Amino acid sequence: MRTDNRADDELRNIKLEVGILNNATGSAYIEWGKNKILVGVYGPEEAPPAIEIQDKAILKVEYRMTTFSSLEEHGKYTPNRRAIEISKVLREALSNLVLLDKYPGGIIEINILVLQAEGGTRVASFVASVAALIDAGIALRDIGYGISAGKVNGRIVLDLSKEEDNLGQGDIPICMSRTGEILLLQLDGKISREEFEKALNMIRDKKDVFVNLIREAFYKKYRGPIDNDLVDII
Amino acid sequence: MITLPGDKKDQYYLMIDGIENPIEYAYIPKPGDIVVGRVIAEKKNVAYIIDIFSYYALSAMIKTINIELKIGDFVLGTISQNDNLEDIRVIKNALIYRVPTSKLSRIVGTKGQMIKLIGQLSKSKLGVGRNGVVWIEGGEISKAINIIDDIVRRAHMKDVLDYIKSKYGDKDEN
Repeated sequence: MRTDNRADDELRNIKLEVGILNNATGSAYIEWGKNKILVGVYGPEEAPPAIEIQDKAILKVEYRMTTFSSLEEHGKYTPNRRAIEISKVLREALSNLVLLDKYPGGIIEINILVLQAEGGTRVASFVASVAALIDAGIALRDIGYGISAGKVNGRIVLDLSKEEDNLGQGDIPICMSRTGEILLLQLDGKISREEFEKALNMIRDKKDVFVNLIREAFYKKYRGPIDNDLVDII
Repeated sequence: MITLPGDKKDQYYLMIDGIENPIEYAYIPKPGDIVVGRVIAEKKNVAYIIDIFSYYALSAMIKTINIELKIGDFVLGTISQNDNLEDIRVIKNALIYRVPTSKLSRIVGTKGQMIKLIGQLSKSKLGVGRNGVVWIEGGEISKAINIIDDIVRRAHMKDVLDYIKSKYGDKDEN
């Protein structure tokens, strides 16, 4: 039995919007349960000569939690240990999806701002970042998705909330591409090999949920009414 | 039908049914493209550095262009094989306006129909560079910009030419 009466493989409600920041090249806003995350993508621009790489672009990811976004991190807006870690793992996950060698000597910046946190922000940030990168028109090899699995009361469940994360025996956030390559995998706690394989299969089954989520977000942007004046939708 | 990156082989951008171009992407310089840039620096007796609104700037060698430029000048040129700008000429007395690169083909239209229409409606001269720069000379510049904005907003839709004709053309006759 879970704290909010969900089934073992049931996700919380997810809402995704794209193209909401005017000054960013691409942007996305995700509401995943009580998580609220804003992502802006800027670039590609010319990289400063000191950090420039000749044959490919640099990806810069900055994950930040706002003050009072969660009960634990309140009062800390400057990057803390946790923010630096998540920025690093997201950068490594996303740089396997972006075709960086298309933009030699360039830099692409991704700014992730967590307005409200309730468990699973790193996978939610990953999904929103992928949508924002598509919106920015940056070349992607494939789209990616991610869910955090975990062990609560001896059972493997998907999409842990904050309470389940704190009370459970383990937490495995996994991000992967549609073809099944694993881009991000972290483990906090103790989980057996069989349990891990079960969690991986449960996450794979949720692939279509995320593909449709991203597709619908772009459908809303490009097929919805323009600037509130009613236009015939083709 | 909306297709996402990775839906088909070698598809890297978002695409919408009926429109061949991806919706929006950054400009990647290619040899042979005609682009508009802005002079941002001068290396003495060697080259000018020209910002072409991409993710890197190009240089124009002083020996090959035979023309004197000032910092801040807008220039039109062709990208050569070794990432230099050639065949340079200066754009004067024109307004420079930027649009997303991918929506440029909608502004030009099939066989240049759309850009001719904008020119007729606003009575100004227009030109485009591959890097998403439109320059507008004379006539009603603000009207031309309004029309261009409208096309960019509707770039993923059909029958934009008729829409522009009916929205801006009728008012002109009255």
